[in-house]
Amino acid sequence: MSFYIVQFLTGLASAASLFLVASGLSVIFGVSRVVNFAHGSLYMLGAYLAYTLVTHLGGGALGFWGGIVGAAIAVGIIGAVIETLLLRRLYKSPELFQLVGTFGVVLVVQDLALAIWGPDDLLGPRAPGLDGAVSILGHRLPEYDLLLIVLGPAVLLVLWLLLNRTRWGILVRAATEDPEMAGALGVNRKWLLTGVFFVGALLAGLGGALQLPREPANLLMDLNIIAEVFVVVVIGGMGSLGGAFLAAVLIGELQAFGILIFPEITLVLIFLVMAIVLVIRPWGLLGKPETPPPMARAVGRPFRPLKPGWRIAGYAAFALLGAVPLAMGGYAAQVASEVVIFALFAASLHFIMGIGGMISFGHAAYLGFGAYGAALLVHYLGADMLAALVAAPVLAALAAAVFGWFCVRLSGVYLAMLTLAFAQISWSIAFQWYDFTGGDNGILGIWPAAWASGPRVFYLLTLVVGLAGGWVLRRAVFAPFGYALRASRDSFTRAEALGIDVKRLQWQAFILAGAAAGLAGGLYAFLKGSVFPTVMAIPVSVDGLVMVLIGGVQTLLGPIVGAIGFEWLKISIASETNFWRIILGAVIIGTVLAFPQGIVGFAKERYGRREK
Amino acid sequence: MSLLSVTGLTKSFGGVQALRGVDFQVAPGEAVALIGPNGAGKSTCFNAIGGQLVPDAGSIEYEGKKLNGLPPHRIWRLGIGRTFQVAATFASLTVRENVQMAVASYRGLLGRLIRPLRALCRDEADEALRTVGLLDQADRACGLLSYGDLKRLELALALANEPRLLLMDEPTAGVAGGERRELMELIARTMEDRGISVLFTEHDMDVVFGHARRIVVLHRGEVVAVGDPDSVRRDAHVREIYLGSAAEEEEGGENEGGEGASC
Repeated sequence: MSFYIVQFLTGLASAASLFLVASGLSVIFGVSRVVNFAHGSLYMLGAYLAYTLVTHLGGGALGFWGGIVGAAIAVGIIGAVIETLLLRRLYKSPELFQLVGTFGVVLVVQDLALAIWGPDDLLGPRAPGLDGAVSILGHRLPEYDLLLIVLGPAVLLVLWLLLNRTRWGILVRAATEDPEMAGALGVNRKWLLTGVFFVGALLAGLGGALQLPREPANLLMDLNIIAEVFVVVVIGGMGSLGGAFLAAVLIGELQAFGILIFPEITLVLIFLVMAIVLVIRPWGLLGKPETPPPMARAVGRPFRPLKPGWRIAGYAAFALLGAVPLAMGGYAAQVASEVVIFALFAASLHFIMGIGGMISFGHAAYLGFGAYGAALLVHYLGADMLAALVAAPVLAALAAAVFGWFCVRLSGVYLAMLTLAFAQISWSIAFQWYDFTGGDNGILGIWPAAWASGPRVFYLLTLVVGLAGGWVLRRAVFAPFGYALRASRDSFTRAEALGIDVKRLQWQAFILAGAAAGLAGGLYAFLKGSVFPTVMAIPVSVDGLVMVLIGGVQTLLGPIVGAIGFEWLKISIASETNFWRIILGAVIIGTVLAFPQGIVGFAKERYGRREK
Repeated sequence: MSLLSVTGLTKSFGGVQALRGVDFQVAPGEAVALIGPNGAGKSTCFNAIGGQLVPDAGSIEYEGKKLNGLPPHRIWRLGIGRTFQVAATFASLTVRENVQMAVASYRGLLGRLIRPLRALCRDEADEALRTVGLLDQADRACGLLSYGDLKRLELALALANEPRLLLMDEPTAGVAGGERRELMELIARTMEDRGISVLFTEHDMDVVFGHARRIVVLHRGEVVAVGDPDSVRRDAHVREIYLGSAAEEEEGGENEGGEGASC
């Protein structure tokens, strides 16, 4: 019994940091309606800065606590700077651009942290005066955990007072409730937002700094925490501080106790709880059932069928482009295979995003399910390559059916957050279930069948399969199914009032896109000869998003052009430098800043007068 | 026997009671107007019938089937068409594609994955567009239409399932004078030709008194008067709601009652 009490207290302690970060995200979202993807990066910076400050200020209570507070304030300032330089320009943009733009910040911060602090984990000192352990009914609990247990509710109280008892808080709440009215009454929204970002970032930084004595600062902190925080916010209810606290405690406890029951799949438990909450209360435990924030999404133009001459020219260009790598040798064929695979992946993402209007931040999950599905079949059952390539999309479609069933219940940024959470959960299953998936050692020896082992033959196979997948997606766009999907994206109300079961339709689209991504994943496994958890990690999902974004969200050729452009960029940069993420991040930020209304919106403004 | 029968319909939002036990019927082939000052509960009532809102209590029966709690797409399948206060259409589709979608949905063809929509239900769509006078704009992007034409397109969409009842939330809102009369005549003619019942709300009292066979007057979530246009016009309670107590002293002509209310 006493053991469980201590375990419970440990859970409460780990909830503290989670709550700090989640509350910051929630406060920022409330006023700006931006989901700050880089919030995890601020958390990570908090830990690293605290490490540097604490080690430089020397030991002693003053040095330690001064370092923690100093790191939090520094991160707050960094947050305010990010707001002024980047986000301020994106408030009126489609939410996809806000999400992707802040992800650009994630990439930049990752490489900066790598450059400044190096790749090794940095373990900070223990808190002076709190470095012992107390004995509770014969079990030991670190004193520092006791501090964290008290700190969570204390921060909740301070935030509540700040928002409800100060003039600044009243202005913030006014701007949250009714931005236009607050503006009309003379509230300077611009600086209010910067202030809110400062507070939100400070909370994230404090959360990271306080973790230092418990967990070393490392380069995976940012994405690990952001997925958990999204789960917390979805469970607790967006914009509700009390909900965030409750959900953080819930997740903290689930981890504390889950580790006793299923040490390898604690994340599955979290997923189950989240699923149950979403079914019963789609708007979260303490959230209000509100319509999602209005989507400033670019509306596409009607697709016009190509004139026959152009269509033939298009097919010819495709055939020519496809044939070029064959003439260039083995390495070129390998690179080209990868391009084809990612073009199919991007096209499948485009199908739910551009056509269906559902932003997925976790599409790599289905690439991963396909890749792991094929690899596991080969590894355990000695399956034939073609059989594995058939099974890959089926398995991915099954995963998409389960995840998608929950995702389509939400929309907009909530949906995006949920897709990310599912992808992160899938990733950690692959990463943690060592006995089955080999963990981060991956599964090796997944080679193509003998007849397809030459790079050129395999490229031809990839091309044929990829074109077939792309062809199905393209036909679906022009078929009644695709039209219904676009119609539902344009006007949910009208589509429902015309007999379309929108949620079901979106779910089917999710499954179809999942299958196509899974097919790409199966090919990818055989191309590489191995599978690692990184295939379904968040950066791969974002690669897909960037491809779609570069190519243009509202064009059918976009994802293909985007995939070619992206792979070229990646190969040419990655061979020159170890810091390609910083360049990719800069490209992303540059793109969203240059086209704040979307590339299509830009083109429309520029060339839109043609259509009358 | 009535086509639509609403009994004891109740709905509140937080502490505000938008509907407090509303009763009324619509007979086959009948045009019924639902009127009342702002905040009377007209749109709430409409959204409850259309399935956009779930009522707290009461029942909505259509051809003997209960509609309460059914999602909008199921209600549409039962033969109820719907237009919205702010015209809702599919902006990134062409005008023809909008209607083709609606017809294909009615025929149950939307699950199709391979054969293009382009050739599907095209004749039916063009026929519907001819009816509402939009055939010459069939290939334009729907986002480029004028607002009056959008309202016409919405009518074509609402008729795609060959409805027996049409719900129209302010069919002429946002449409200018001359165009407004034409639009309303188009609606009236179509209803008559096809024997469709209409339930509509409207702020323009000329439209209401010119086209409704019966009028249901809502005030603060309750039905305060039901009857043909003449009896509603003479109803003292209705005059009081619209004109204030001044109406009782004033010996104005009956037409003025209608005029005053349209402001």
